[in-house]
Amino acid sequence: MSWAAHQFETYAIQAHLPKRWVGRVSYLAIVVGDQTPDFVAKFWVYGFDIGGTHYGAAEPFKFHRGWPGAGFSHSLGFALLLAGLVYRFTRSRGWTAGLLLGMAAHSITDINDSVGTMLAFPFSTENFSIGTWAYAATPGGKYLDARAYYSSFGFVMDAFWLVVLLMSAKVLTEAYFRGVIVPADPKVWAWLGRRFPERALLAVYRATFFYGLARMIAWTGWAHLLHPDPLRGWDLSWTGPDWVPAFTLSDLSPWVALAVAAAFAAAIVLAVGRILGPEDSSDAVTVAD
Amino acid sequence: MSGPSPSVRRPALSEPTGRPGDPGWYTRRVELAIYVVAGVTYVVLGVFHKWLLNWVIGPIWLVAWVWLTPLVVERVRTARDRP
Repeated sequence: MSWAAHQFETYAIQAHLPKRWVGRVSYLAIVVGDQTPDFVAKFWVYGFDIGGTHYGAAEPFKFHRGWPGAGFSHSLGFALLLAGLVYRFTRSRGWTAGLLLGMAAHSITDINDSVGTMLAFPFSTENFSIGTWAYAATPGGKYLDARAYYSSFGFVMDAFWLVVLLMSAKVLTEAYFRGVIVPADPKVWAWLGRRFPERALLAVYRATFFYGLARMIAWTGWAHLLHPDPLRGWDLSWTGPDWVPAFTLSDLSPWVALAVAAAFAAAIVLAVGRILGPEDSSDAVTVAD
Repeated sequence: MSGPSPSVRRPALSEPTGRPGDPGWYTRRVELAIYVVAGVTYVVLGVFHKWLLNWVIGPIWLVAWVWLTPLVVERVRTARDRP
């Protein structure tokens, strides 16, 4: 799984939308879409303790990404189903498109760990992984997972997305918020604007970046500065770190995973293009309300 | 619909934000400082209390600092200036 990458990639997507889509895709929907796969699957992965009894998945990686389990949450089928339901009830093209982009980004980013994602569900229950780092979620909680992720190429992945975001730092500015983000989602921002001052709305928009950066610093600092473990240090080897078992659900070639991810991304882009339609058919171009 | 113009002048840090609802003393430098304080406090507390590091509390933490700090300062100033 990925950690802060899921926060940073939302802004990276926003910054790199094709010009004809800018101001028509809801950023809030991208965030919701990016959080949804783990919102559906994660609660049972680490589990919780009540009265000394642990409740949760016995094999978190199978529940999180497998079938039977919640692995469908990281798939094309689930993304299309959820986006379809949202469009059915809201008729918002901007939200439908944003949800699709966010869920696709999450599912594709997660092919980097050793378990990978069921991108092609419901056509296939095969997991696709390129194994960049080890999937390390265990029933014991997130500490081992965090230490493994922030000692491996997972840290590099977070840093990569942070750099991509900072190279397009204009997306974090007030001018961009007013000129692009609000017009793409006028009803929601207007509703919030009737309850909170604009500085709070701007903070809401920047909060995903804030949280991603803070958790990256906090967990890395905890793992390597405050509680370093000489037996569990940095290991920037492929599918590392080697001090944790790298769970897996498939032995398909990483090249197959990359090809399927590319096809998945193309399908999502085509779907978003169809949803948004020609430029003049947008339903969210004015700051009305 | 168009994005922000590249020719828009970047406001100085010493300028008030000028947003509706922001006090006159609330400059961009003050706002930046509030973001930094929110970040430092969240990271330091989060390192020692991991339950704080989640996607609900993290965003709320920032929004609360940015939203409430000017309100609290204004209330203190009003109380202090009251005869």
